Amino acid sequence: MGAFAGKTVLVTGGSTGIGNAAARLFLAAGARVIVTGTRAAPADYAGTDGDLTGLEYHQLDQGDLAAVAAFDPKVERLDALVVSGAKVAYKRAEFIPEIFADVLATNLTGPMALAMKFRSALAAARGSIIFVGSVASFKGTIGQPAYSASKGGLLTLTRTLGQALGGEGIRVNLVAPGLVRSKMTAITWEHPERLSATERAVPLGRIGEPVDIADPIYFLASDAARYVTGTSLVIDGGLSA
Amino acid sequence: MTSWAHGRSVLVTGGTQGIGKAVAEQFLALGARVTITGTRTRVECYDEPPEGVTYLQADLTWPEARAEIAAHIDALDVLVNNAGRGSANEYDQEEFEHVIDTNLNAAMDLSVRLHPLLKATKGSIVNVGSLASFLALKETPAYTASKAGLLGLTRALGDKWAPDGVRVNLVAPGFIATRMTEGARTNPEREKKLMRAIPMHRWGEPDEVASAILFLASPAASYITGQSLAIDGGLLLR
Repeated sequence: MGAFAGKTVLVTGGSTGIGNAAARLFLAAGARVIVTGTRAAPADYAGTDGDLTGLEYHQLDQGDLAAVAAFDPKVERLDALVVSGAKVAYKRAEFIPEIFADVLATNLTGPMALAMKFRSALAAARGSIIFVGSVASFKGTIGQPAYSASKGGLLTLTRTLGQALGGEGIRVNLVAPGLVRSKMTAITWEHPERLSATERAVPLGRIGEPVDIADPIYFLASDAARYVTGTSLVIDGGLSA
Repeated sequence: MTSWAHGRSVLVTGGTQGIGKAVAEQFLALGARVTITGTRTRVECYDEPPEGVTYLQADLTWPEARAEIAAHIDALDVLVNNAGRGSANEYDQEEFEHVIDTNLNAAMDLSVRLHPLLKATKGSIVNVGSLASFLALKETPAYTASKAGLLGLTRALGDKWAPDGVRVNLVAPGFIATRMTEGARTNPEREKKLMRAIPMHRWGEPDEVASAILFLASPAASYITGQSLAIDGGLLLR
């Protein structure tokens, strides 16, 4: 029997990358796991790093408030809400106000809407929320004003909801990954020079893999972290130490 | 299923009571070989000490005692620098220095002495900091400085030893139900005030800190180094 047998976990952005790695850990621990992604159907993820076997898939654009409101995965009790879905725009596009607003909608406003939508289900299970932030939650990234602002916002949202929801028994925490090999960061790790410059800067000497982040997400959602709330855990191989 | 800690060697300083004892017991439950230190002559001098551990008597304030501990250890996977103390008069310079010796200098000294063993196993160090790593506790300047110092030490050693595969992290417990906080727990007025300040409205248990320490020492935290994790029921949020 896994530690999450009989429990329910929702992972947004759970179709690929960090979210998918986390979803698979919860599944292996016996949970019912619901994931969301932007594509129409699980088959559309063929050829990605995502494995949707055994996961309940829903298409959801989490930056669309109406879509979040209409989202109905049929849960009464939710033990963990992992908000991993996020977007980033490259080539200075985030300096365009409309694109800035779009990134903020997906990365910050949507996560807040999801937290409020599932608040009572989380309270019923004395569950927890784990936001996937970034090292950009703590420092600027010169080409990504929207991504950085959204991830910085998630950090203070974590702190605020940690205070606001503590009385309901809901814990709220954030993981802050450094550079992780995923679809979103391919622009960095698929480029040999950028990759080796990054690896040189990381004390542990390598970029992260999705499971390096999924394990700490699982820990924060687990009973082992039952007195941990409002905190952030940086997982970056020592980059920001 | 064999746990990751099965057969691993663990040293917990100050492992006779409170958080250190909980850490020792959780590692023992996973099948680790656990050595603890304490200041009393024999482990039997404590009420309900952990069972099944190797006990070393040592007052870590003194360099000779630290050298002796290091000489006793021949293999090591996890070092938990947990031993700590405060003093009633930390504005007295001698007392101040004693607290710094126990809480900070001992952690540095033991970490350096045991680094070769940790390098050999690609092991890890977990330092037990405190809320005082981040906040000022004005009546205990030495405790505050030592715990903030441990945070800086964690970052520096994390960076320095990452190439060796040795990870170094810190936990920052909030108000935990241990002997050290007995004064506040038996004073209803103080306790009420404290509980109001904690979003989760309760004391933490030693086991709740220990489980975070085991996580940081485990392969599940293999990409985490130089970091700190608060286990405080949300206290630092306010």
